[in-house]
Amino acid sequence: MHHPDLYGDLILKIAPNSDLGPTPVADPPGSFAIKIADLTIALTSDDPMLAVPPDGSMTPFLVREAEPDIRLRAQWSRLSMDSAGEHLFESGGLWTLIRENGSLRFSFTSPVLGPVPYKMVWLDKEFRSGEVLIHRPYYSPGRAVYPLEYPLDELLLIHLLAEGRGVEMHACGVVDSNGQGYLFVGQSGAGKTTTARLWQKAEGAGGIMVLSDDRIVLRYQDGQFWMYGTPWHGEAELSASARAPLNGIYVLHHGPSNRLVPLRRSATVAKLVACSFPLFYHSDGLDFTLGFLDQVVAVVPSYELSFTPDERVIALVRSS
Amino acid sequence: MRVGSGPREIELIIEERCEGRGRAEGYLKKEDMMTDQPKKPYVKPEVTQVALRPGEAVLGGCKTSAVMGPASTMCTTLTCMVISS
Repeated sequence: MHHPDLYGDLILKIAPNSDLGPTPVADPPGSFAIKIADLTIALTSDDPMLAVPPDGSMTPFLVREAEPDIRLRAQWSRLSMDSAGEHLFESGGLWTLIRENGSLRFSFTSPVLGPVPYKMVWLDKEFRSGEVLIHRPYYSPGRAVYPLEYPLDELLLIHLLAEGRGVEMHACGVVDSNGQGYLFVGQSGAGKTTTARLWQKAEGAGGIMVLSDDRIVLRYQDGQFWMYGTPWHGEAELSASARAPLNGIYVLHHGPSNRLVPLRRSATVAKLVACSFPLFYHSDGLDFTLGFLDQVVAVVPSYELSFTPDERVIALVRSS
Repeated sequence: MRVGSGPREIELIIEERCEGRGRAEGYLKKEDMMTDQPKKPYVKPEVTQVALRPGEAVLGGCKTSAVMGPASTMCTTLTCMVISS
């Protein structure tokens, strides 16, 4: 995992998340905040065991934030089967989104545990504050719990982004020593982690930073498109709390040789949508996502990249 | 784009139109029409289907490589039946 401190002068070119301190910041017991792509989620709890700051890849994203974008409060509860309200979306897996009495509610269940949710999250309709309820009987006494556990943390971020802020991509983001940002887009198995490792191991790879080998956030700020690192990484476990200008988009495929083909705008937008995380139940958010990706493709060169896992593909990308 | 009641019914259909012609570019000035430039051949619009992976697109499965903190065992051993990237 990379940390912005390791990059010295380079960080001035690629600009870390603003307000990120030189070292991870720990809030007082009972609260913490994470900042990803310049969006902040803060959590508090009366029970310190429900507000233990995350470790691992999330650690560099911890901040001390006075004005978070979402403020959550966590507490233990005894939940019951969740049938009330209007079901807006069922993920087919871990979570369901429900609207009831003007509020939104995420309900997290598992076939292993049965129909009673292990967690519910109530959010106001402005998506600015909410409450995280953890089903007490599922947890042994004294056990610390990270209430924002995936997929909640990522769900919150993609909802914030869909409010006109940006788009999260299923992609690997690499920054070279000149501060050039390359976005490698692809679904599982397309080669994102392989690409991240190739760049890391490349000859003269000093100064190469992998923002993530699986999830990258795109935003438009200060007159240009940026790609942001996220804590959600792939098998290579590479992530960084930093951002870089977006200079090229490469839709990844494994192939018999290294080949770079420019993509038409409409084809690129379609492929990017398929590798993003649209809110299918939110017409305004979906509309924004499609328009945003169209604008990205209008100004950033886009290619289809077939590649074999050898370093020659790096030179090919750099020459594009 | 058609969206069904669940993620398995998602199908994305993109209709490709003539590229490089924004609305403003689509109308030629009179003097441009007088030039001897050869007429561009007609290109029939195509419909391209792009596959979505619903489980990935809606964060419907566990992301085991990103588990973190004291709750990691919750995701890997209690709640997760589907692994996604």
